[in-house]
Order: sequence, then structure tokens, then C-alpha cells
Amino acid sequence: MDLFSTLFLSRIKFAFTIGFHILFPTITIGLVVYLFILEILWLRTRNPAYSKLFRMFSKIFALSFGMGVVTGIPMSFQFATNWGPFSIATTNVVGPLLGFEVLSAFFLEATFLGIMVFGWGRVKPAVHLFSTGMVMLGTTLSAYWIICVNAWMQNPQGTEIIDGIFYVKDWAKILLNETMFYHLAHMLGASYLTATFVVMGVLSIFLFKRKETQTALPGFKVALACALILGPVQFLVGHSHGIHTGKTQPIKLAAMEAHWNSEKEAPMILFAWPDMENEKNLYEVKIPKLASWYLTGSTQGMVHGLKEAKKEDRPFVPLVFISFRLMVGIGCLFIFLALAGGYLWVRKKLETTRWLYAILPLCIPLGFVATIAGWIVTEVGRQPWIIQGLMRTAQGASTSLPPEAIRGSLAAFGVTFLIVFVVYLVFLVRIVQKGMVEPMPTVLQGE
Amino acid sequence: MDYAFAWSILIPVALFIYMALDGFDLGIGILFPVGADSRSRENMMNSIAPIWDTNETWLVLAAGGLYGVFPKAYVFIFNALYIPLIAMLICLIFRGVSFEFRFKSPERFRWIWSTFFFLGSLGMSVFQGIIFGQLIQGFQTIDNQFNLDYWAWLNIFNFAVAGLVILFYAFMGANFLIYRLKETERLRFVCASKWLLGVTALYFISIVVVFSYGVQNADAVSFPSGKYLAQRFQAFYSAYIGLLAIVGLLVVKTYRSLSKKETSDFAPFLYGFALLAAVFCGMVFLGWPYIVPGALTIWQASSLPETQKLMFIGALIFLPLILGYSMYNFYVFRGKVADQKFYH
Repeated sequence: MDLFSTLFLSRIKFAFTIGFHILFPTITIGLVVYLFILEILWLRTRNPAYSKLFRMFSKIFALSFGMGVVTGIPMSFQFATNWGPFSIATTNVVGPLLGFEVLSAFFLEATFLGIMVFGWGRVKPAVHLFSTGMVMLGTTLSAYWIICVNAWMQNPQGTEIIDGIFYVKDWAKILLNETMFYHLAHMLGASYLTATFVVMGVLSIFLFKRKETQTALPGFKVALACALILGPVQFLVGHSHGIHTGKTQPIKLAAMEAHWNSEKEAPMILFAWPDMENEKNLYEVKIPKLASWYLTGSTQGMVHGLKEAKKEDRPFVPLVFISFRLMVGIGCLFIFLALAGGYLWVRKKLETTRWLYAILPLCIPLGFVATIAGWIVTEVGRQPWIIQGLMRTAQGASTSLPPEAIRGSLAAFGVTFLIVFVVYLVFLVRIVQKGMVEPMPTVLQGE
Repeated sequence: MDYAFAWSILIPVALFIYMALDGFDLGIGILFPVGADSRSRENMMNSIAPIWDTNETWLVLAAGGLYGVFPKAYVFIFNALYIPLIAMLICLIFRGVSFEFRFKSPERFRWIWSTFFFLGSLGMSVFQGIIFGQLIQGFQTIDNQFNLDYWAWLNIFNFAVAGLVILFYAFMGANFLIYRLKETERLRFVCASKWLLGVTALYFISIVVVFSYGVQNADAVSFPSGKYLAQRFQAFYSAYIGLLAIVGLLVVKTYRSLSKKETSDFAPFLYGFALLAAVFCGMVFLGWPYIVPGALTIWQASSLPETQKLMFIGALIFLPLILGYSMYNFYVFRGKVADQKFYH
């Protein structure tokens, strides 16, 4: 592959900008649910701990949401600038989905965020809670619409191509695409879990130092309860997602598992370096029959291999294979930590334990790493197709754009994102350093 | 029903709402150095902190709508204007983050984010002006395809339009601050608004005179769609003279309302919208039915009628809701900003 071609640079640019952008929706989609829970708990119990927690995490939310907005707006132009032929071919499908995303979700979250962040003391508590709920609805809806687009690209149902243009035959198959349900459930799960571990990580810093324990512990327990439910659920959702991928995109699944040959009694490959050229794995460590069992339910089950696709129709296997392992590994670590926390909770040792609070802050970035790794599996695993089986990525890219222009814009975005990201992290640290001292104002207008 | 026609009105409407709303908050960024002190700049920024995000979403709607209903225009315009568009987006990123960053910054580093806010707002206005300028003058094409000149936007007319956009946004920003600030801070912007109105009006007249003269004598300035624009102008000559008269009248009315002893909170702000509407309508009508002047009409750029219909119905359902709750948001954050404590 020519590393400096317009196509490759466009792909890098898209991967970079969307990979950077997705960090922020990942945290905000989950964090707003946590904030909603905190707000309800505060309004019901009037325990100041919840309002202090809400104060601190809503600052983190506002900062992250702002980053999400400014990194997201460029995305809406990028289809045009770098993926012209794709945009023109898919207008009838993708256009309405994005249009409805803006109309139903973006305005909702942007507008009610104002009241949620700046509205304390200006509106009644019920209206404030309603606003937090609307922000939550907006972020979730926007996830739904964009995943409809992506699921259609993975599993193009309900459309037909005439003269290179996609026509919609059945919207229900796009809006209720089976793949969409797996994707959406898995992505929402990833967001919730990432946010949960961010919350637990941040509060562990306080609990480890035995600072503001009265405030941190109730918040930690709420997050831990979420993690205990979400961890196993996400594992099961991810598993069924994988099985579904095996049906709709067998080559992607084969790349995730690094299976070259279609075989019964397929082994589970724990680690290997997939050698694309010679169509085999190097340094393979495997467990016999296990993959057949968990993919088909029987150790005799047939598992499809990469060789079923022509060489030019295969994704870059090592990246898919390793990203998948990274994601699953982090997921298992999260489940373990949640169970450990649950055990300590039952044993009433959450007040005294130290080791858990020492580990959890280190896990703050891991949810993001797992989410990005998961998207790499999904997107790189679909290659060389931009729309599975129907349109190649190379056919979707604007070819007229000179490579210098893309290189320049990539460099500009790179520098910009680097600067704002470093500052973002500095401010996150500052928010946490300031702690949870200020409660919400209790005297509200209209009371 | 001709949905391409309906959308040829609705997309400019979305763009107009974007310019009207983000215009005043970009204007506040442009006027940031005019603020008397750090406290005053704090108030300026607070006055738009809860609403700028919604305002900017109208830009996303215009872009997203274009993708769905006029895909060929969407691809053509943003491909041809790749460089100014990317530059505008980079400015947008720096400006957008400076809100949250400035709030959370210790006093001694605030100037950094004030600077980013100012430069980002200014940069966004400049590049938007360049993009609008190019959309007015049209594109050089070869066989109806973009001629691949990625630097064609570097021309004097676009910079002239950029200047107009900066002045006008600043004018609208000052008008919003008249409504949101009080006492001496407010008087400062009553004065600024008066000056900006005068300068903008003179500047606008000179652009119109210089370039309409230039376009008629094609050797001096040549617009790719110059001929078409001149035809449309001549065909609707009296309407355009009428429109200019309306603009003139509005300028006088605005000036008088600004010169009153007790300047009203709202009047200048609303006059600003009216002025923008008049000029904007005139420009859109001049180029109609081209959506990419010199290359594509609305019908040539269209997606399927079914797609346009679907999105039209979506817009009819959601736009009233959006307008409703954004008005509510404005209502919640009404009044003078200095009296408000920001629990943030």
C-alpha cells in the first residue's frame, strides 16, 4: 500500500479524527446517566454528598462535552471533503440518518446542557432534573442514529444499488437492523462501563488518601453497583455480537480469531502473530476445540477461515486480532475488579481496603483504550469494504484531493488535538484536585 | 410538490439562523478586546456560555442537510473550499474549548484563553466570509467539475466579504451585549454598536459599488458567475433597488434606536437580524436557482425526491420543537448577566 496516497491519507485522517472524537462521547454518554442517578438520589435523600459529587462530575462532564462538540463538528464536513463518492452514492441512506441525528439529538443535548450546567438556581429542581434527562436522551439518540449508519455499512440491509447509487427499499431494515441492536448495546455498554470506571477511579483517589470519604464512598458504591451489573452484561452482549458477526461478516470474525482455514474443532488462539503473506500464524499459543465450542456451541462446530476470501478481500489481520484481544482483556479485568469490589462491599471492607483504591485510578484510561480497540476491530475488520460486500473503501474516497492538502490538514488537526487534549487533561486533574467541597445551592428560585 | 424547491429555501433558512445566532456570539469573541477589564470580559463570555452550543448546531444542520438533500453540492463546495473550511474548523475547535478552559483557568492564565477566544472567533468569521464570498461569486469549472484549483479562494472579493462578515458579526455581538450587560459596560457597547453600524454600512456600500462596477468591466474583476449575477440583478432591478432602500431605512432606524437616551434592550438586536435577513435574502435570490453558482442548480444537485421528502417531514416535525426549547433556553438565561451567579 502506498503510504502517501490520497486514499491512505484520507483513511488515516478519518481514523484519527473519529478516534479522537469518540473518546468524548464515550465518557459523556455514560457520565450523564451517572449524573442523572446522582441528581435523583440527591433530590430524594437531600444527602449533600450527592450534590457535591454532582458538582464535581458535572464539571468533568461539561469539559468533556465541549471537547466532544468541537471535535464532532469537523466530522460533519469530512464526508464531503475526503469521501465524496461515498457521500454521493449513499446520500439516500446516510443523509436522512444524519439529518435526523442533528434534528432530534444534537439540538436537544446542546440546548439542555446549558440549563444542566449553568441553570442551578435559575430553574426549579424538577426542571433541572428534566434537563439532565434531556441531555441523556440526546446523547443516547445520537448514538442510535450514528450506529444505524455504521450498522448499515456493516450489514447493508433494506437497500439496492442502481447505477452506483443506493436506494432505500425498506427503512425498517435500516432503522431496526439486527446488527444495529448489537452495535448499539455494545457501544452503550462500553460508554457506561468506561464512565463507571472513570468515576470509580477518580473517587478511589479520594478514598485512597482517606479524603472526603463521607462524600466519595456513597458515589463509589453507586458506580460499583453499576459496574457489577454492566460488566457481565457487556461480556454477554459482546459475545452475542461476535456470534452475529460470524453470520454477517465471517471474514471479520476469522480475522478477530486469526483462523486461516475453515475447520471443525477449531482451536482458540490465545496469542499469535498472523502472517498475512504466508497465510498462517507465527508464535501461536492455542487451546484446542475451544473456538468451535464458544462460536457454535459444539466442539465439532464449523468455523470459517480467512482463506474463504480472496487475498485482496481480507482486512489487515494482525491489527484486528490484537485489538480484539486488547478489548476483551480489558473487559475481563473490569469484571474482575468489579467482582473484587463487590466482595469487599459484602464483607463491609470498602471503608478500610487500600489495594483496590490503589489500582482503580490506573484503570481510568482503560475503558477508552478498550472502546477504541473495539472500533478498530469493527472498522478495520470490515476492510477492504466501506460498505460490506458492495463498495470498496478505495471507491468511496475523493481522488481529486491532492495528498499535500490532506497531509496539511492532518498535521493541523494533529497539532490542534494534541494541544487541546493536553490542556483538557490538565483541567481534569485540576477539577479533581479541587475536590468535592462545594455543594449545590439549596435555595432555588421559586421555592 | 417540488421538494428540491422547498429545500432550496430551507437550507438557506438554516444557514441564516446560524449566521444570526452564531453571528452574535462570534461577534462577542471579536469584541473581546473591547471589554473594559477581566471582570467585564467574564460577563461577556457568561452571556453566551449557555447558548453558544445550540447556536453552532445550526451549522451542523446546514451541513448535514446539504448532505442529505443536495449531495453533489455538499461534495463540490466542501471539496473546492477544503482549505478555508479546515482552517475555519481549526478556529472553531480553539474557540469552542476556550469557554470551558477559561472558566477553569487560574486568573493568571486567563489571558491565554481570552486570546484563543478572540482569535478563534475572528478566524471563524474570516473563513466563513471567504466561503460565503466564493459562494456568491461562483466557481470556475471544467465540464461542470471543480477545476481542482484549491487556492482559488484567495482573491480580493472573498477578503472583502470576510471584512464585512467580521464587522457585521461584531455589530450583532455588541447589540446582544446591550441586552445582556448593564450600566457603564452596556454604554460601552451602545457606543461600539453605533460605530460598527456606521462603518459596516459605508463598507457595504463601497463593496457593492466597487464590485458591481468591477463585474461590469470584466477586465478589472471577473466572477465565474458574474454574467449570471448581472442578468439576475438587471431582471429584478427594481426589487433590488427596493431592497437597498429597505436596508437603508433599517440602518437609519437602528441608528436612531441606538441614539435614544434610554436605548431599548431588544430593539438594536432585532434590527440586526432584520438587516442580516434583508442582505441575505438578496444574495440568495441573486444566485437562485444555483446552489453551486456556475456549476450546479438545486435540481442538478438533488438527491432522490423521496429522500428530500423524508427529510422535509423530519424538519417540519423537529424544527418547531427545536425553536421552542431553544427559546425556552434563552428565556431561562434572560436578563442582565452581572446579576447572575454562575454555579459552574
